[in-house]
Amino acid sequence: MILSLLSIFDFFKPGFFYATAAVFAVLIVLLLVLIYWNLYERKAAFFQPQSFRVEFELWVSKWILEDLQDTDTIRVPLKFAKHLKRPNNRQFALDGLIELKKSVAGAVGDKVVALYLELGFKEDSLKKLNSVVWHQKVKGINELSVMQQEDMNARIFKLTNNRNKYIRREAQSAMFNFYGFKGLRFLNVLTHAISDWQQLNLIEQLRPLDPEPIPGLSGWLHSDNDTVVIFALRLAEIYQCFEVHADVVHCLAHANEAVRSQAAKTLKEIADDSTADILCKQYTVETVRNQVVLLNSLAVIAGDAQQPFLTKELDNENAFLKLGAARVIATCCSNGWAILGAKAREQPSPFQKIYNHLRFELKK
Amino acid sequence: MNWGFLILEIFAFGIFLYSIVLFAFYVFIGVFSIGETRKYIHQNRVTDYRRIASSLHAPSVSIIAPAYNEGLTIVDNVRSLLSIYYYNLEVIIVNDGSKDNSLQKLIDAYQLEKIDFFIPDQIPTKEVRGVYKSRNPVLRKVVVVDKVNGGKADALNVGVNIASNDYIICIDVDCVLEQDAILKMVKPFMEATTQRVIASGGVIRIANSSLVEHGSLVKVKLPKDYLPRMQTLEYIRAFLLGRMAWSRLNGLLLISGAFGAFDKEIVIKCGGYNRNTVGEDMELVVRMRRYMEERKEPYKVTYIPDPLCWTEAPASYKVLGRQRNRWIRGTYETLKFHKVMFFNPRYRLLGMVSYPYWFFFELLAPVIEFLGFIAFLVMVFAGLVDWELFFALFAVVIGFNYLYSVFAVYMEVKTYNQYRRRTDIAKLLLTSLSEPFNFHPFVVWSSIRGLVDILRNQHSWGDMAREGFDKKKS
Repeated sequence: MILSLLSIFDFFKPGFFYATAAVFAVLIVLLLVLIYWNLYERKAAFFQPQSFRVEFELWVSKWILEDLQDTDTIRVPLKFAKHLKRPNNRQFALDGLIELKKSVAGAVGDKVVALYLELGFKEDSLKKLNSVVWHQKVKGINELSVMQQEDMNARIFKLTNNRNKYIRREAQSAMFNFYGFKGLRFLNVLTHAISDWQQLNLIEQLRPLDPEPIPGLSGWLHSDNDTVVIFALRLAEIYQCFEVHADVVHCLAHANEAVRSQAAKTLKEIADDSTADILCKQYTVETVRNQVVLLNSLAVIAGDAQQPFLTKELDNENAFLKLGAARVIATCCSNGWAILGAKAREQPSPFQKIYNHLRFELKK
Repeated sequence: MNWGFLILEIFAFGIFLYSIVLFAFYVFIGVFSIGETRKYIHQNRVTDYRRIASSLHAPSVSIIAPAYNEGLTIVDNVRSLLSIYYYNLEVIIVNDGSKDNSLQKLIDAYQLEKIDFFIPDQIPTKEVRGVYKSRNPVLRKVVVVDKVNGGKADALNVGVNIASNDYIICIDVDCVLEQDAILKMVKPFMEATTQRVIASGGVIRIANSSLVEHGSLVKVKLPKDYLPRMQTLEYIRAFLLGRMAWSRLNGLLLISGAFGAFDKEIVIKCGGYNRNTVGEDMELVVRMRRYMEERKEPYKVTYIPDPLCWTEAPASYKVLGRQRNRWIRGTYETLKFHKVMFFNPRYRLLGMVSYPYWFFFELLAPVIEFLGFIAFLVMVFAGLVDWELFFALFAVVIGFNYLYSVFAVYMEVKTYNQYRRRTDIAKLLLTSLSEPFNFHPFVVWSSIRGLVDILRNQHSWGDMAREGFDKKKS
């Protein structure tokens, strides 16, 4: 009787489900074919043209070690011509040259660039640059940048403010690669954010260069783009740009907490006689996060004049700030240890621990 | 009206509907993860990590590794952590009241001395017995904390209190990290401009049968044993598909306790790890997200698909059962603590999608599967099964399961391709054939036992015995 009642599942015929399972089976077979095709391709790419890969690398190594004056006469062996027609092999050879160029400089680097041009790889890079696919464009910019193709600077400069962050990032790095400090001019027009990762990348790219005055630094410190201000503050900190002290002090009043934090760090490096007092004043209106930064900066530039303020801060409720203030007293005040010792006797918990902690930390 | 028939009918239709929605989610997750992984791989093609690794200006990071009775391997584990390629690094080992000689081994191996250390009590914890640092300046990165036993969450909280840096990375001490793991984990935090990245997870891979030498992974091998191999496939599915898709949606609720990076400020503001749950890793992420949602601050929880952390998977049914029992209890406890978010539009995607997904398809899935199986048995004995329809439905379910596994293996081959031998891939695919009949029912059964333990008020962590990695023969 039960079976005679109509079930919802009566609307579904087994054939429908078998058909669905068959579709799954077809997809599984398709994926299996793709998996093994991929594995085969990888293996083939690794082993079969190994003669090309190994020989090309060997030839390049030999060639760059030859007489360095001989850059005009590049004779690419004919046997490579066939292999270099295949896109995979071309990209392999190009990637090899890019890696090589990154690790060499001077005349050897010039030879690598000459080979890049001779093999027609610049056209490959330009094709990528013209691509509408973002990661192709990024790769193109990267190749042109590493190979110092400065004639492309106008096109690449336009991309420094591209809405795609990866394109923008690579274009900014390229401008640095081409012109060093002068390449920073893109900061004048940058409306998009420049991430911490990118800032650090650019700073590390600048590191090998000899320090020189940074044109436009003062203007960037007043930029509407907060991340440009932070980057400019970082540059002022690293290159100790004392000439922008007033601009940096101005940044302490910025609405963005991260800007104020970086300004406090920068002021530590370009401090003058008034800086410690400015930081103490700023301390009272700061967030706890920035107060920690301010104390870290004061630990380098404070003196006996700031002692009353610091002693007061020992009574702050926040344990981190207590410790920070005690650290500044110990390092910057002439009778710092005596002050902390007296405080530890007066209020052993937590000041005895803080005293002992700093004794160990600062003896190192 | 026949009420028995009606109830059975509603139940069967409910399960049918549930399965359709679950399948739809899986299809969505599989497809949605592709874009995120592809984007990550493309952007990494021109990223020069070496430049940042040696930078003095790179953000400082504290690794926190709790250890309990790890005396056999602790010295090698710490050596592995010290070999990581990152300049501004602090390695905090928290000895959580081990009963073995872990602490003494560390003292001897790393020339440690007890120091006076003021620990700001930002998160309440059990008593810290001592803080140790090395006399050897080369080992200045190492901080060892000895504390009274209080569980993993308590040990991690001590690490958070001690950490001197803005970013913390919490790991299991016996994990093997790739050399560039920290760099890659820190990158999402540094790349954020409009949303604050509060946490980031990395992919965990199974290292059973792989060669590990001096705490570093020398050669990746597919696990020889069935259970670890099955978990290898499971992890590929979960990390390469599931978490990448949720990361793209910004709806991730879980970052594995074995390897996760966090913004320390938000961790402290949220009160640190919860000591009252066995799922402290998930609970922290949910609480951090809830905190940000309630303050309406833009934020993101990210995941990166690189295989950065290698761990040993349970190789016996006993240990695996305990692990899955604990996982389901952790999920239940976390969802219970944060039940206010359930279909609550105030929490946007978190309340309307992520939480309900975890509730229906992670927490309730074993219950529904188990009840479905019982109902099936009842129907068999009552002679109510339309066998033709049953086999047709069975073919769909099994077919979908295999399709999802094969797709995960395809993504693995297309992206990171850790198992390069064709025979390894074949073994992995063959292993998946047995999953619906062996591994999966066991996992469901362990989860059911976990739920029963909740009813019986059991809160134990469960011993996670390890066999140790394969070592290179000299």
